[in-house]
Amino acid sequence: MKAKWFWGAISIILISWLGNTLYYQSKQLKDPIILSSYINIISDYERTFSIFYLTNKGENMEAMSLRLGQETLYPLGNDSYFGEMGNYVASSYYTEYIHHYLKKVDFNIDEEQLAYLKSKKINANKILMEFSGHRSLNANIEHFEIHNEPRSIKSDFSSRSVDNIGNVTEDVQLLEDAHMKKLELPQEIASLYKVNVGKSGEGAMTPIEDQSWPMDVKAKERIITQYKRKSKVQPGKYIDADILMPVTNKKNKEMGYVFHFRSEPSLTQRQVNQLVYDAKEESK
Amino acid sequence: MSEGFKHLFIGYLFLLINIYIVVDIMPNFIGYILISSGIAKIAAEGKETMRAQLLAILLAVYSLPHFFLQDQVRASYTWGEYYDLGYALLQVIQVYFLFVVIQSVFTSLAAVKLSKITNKIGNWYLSIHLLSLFTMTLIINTLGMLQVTFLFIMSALTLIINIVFIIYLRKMQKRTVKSITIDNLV
Repeated sequence: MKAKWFWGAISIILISWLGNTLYYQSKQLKDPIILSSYINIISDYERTFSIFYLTNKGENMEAMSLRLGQETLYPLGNDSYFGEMGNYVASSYYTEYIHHYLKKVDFNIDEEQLAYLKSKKINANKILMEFSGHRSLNANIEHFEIHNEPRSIKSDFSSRSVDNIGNVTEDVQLLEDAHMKKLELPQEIASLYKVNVGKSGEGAMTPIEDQSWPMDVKAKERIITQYKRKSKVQPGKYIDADILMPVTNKKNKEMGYVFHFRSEPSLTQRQVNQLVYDAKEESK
Repeated sequence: MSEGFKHLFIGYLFLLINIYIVVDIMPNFIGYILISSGIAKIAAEGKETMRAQLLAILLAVYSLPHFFLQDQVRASYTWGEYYDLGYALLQVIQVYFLFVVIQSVFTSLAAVKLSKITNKIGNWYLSIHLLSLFTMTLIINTLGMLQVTFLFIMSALTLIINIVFIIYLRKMQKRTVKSITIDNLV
């Protein structure tokens, strides 16, 4: 090999090494980016919810706990001892990006904790998430509320399906005659989803705004609620909301049926780049 | 000269084979010491010979972490990635000077056939190693699956060319017997 070719190639390698190292360093996060969450819980027993965060691939930044006032929640699976170099691994990675992982960490609130959190008004802005290395960050929870469960209407079959573009369909069969009142959706969901409601076998679904309320439902009829995404771009946000479908039974007793609406974030590489860029700009 | 190629052959064999029983029982630094002595036996003193030897000695020192730490352990340290790239870079430069030395010896002996073989092997060896090094610089900015694919292809290619290189050194050892004459080299 001629000397000029060889040394030329070595120079290109050195330039590429320098360039790639600088580019890699420019993408590294000082702290994890916790994706925004909307959490609305209607439960008296126990409930699991998740938090999603972006972290550097080359660094182990594990979620250790979530502090809600006096209560501290620990990630599910925190007692498992595996992972590289013997570190505790609480969160599995959800999606891999060029320089980052989107990680999901699950938390469980038990009955006692739910009772405590209902009694205290938790300020969502003050919920903190602690990471390995004693790093404590705002958990970026926009809304966090816990409500009592209503008396439940008798229901039998229920199902929930999510298609590959994030549209959600909830299906429930009631076992007694009922009047269904207008479905009040949280603004978070209403702004992102177009919601249709209808009964099975009735053909076309009607947008909730156009539906005449209350809707009479006979025993054994199935109510279908469809959440269709308004935008093609998947929101980089986690929504975990229990939605109350208010109903009155034939004795005119106020009851309810609770839907668990869950939309997990799915980010494109471009969205991740933007989040990283914004985080870096903010930290300047 | 045959003795020199023998040292080079054994030296590069030490670099190729790493067997860890607590430590590497075929340490790279021994390999580089053999390579350095091999170079001294092949060629007369000169600028290129000195560079090839000096780099071999430098690599003998630089490769000391290999003696204690396996590849996976080194990679787990922050410095591991930079260390390995630096090592690979120095190694390819050392082999480049070695080829220059061997080539100049065969040219001075007018050993046309051996010179051609050396040129061919040298070009392939250096091209593959340079391509592998270039790939190593890129993989930190690629997705995991792509990294694995790149690493697999480049590892397979470099392994093949390293084996070819060792076979070449063995053949050179046999062909450059002690009673070397220009006639049996041409």
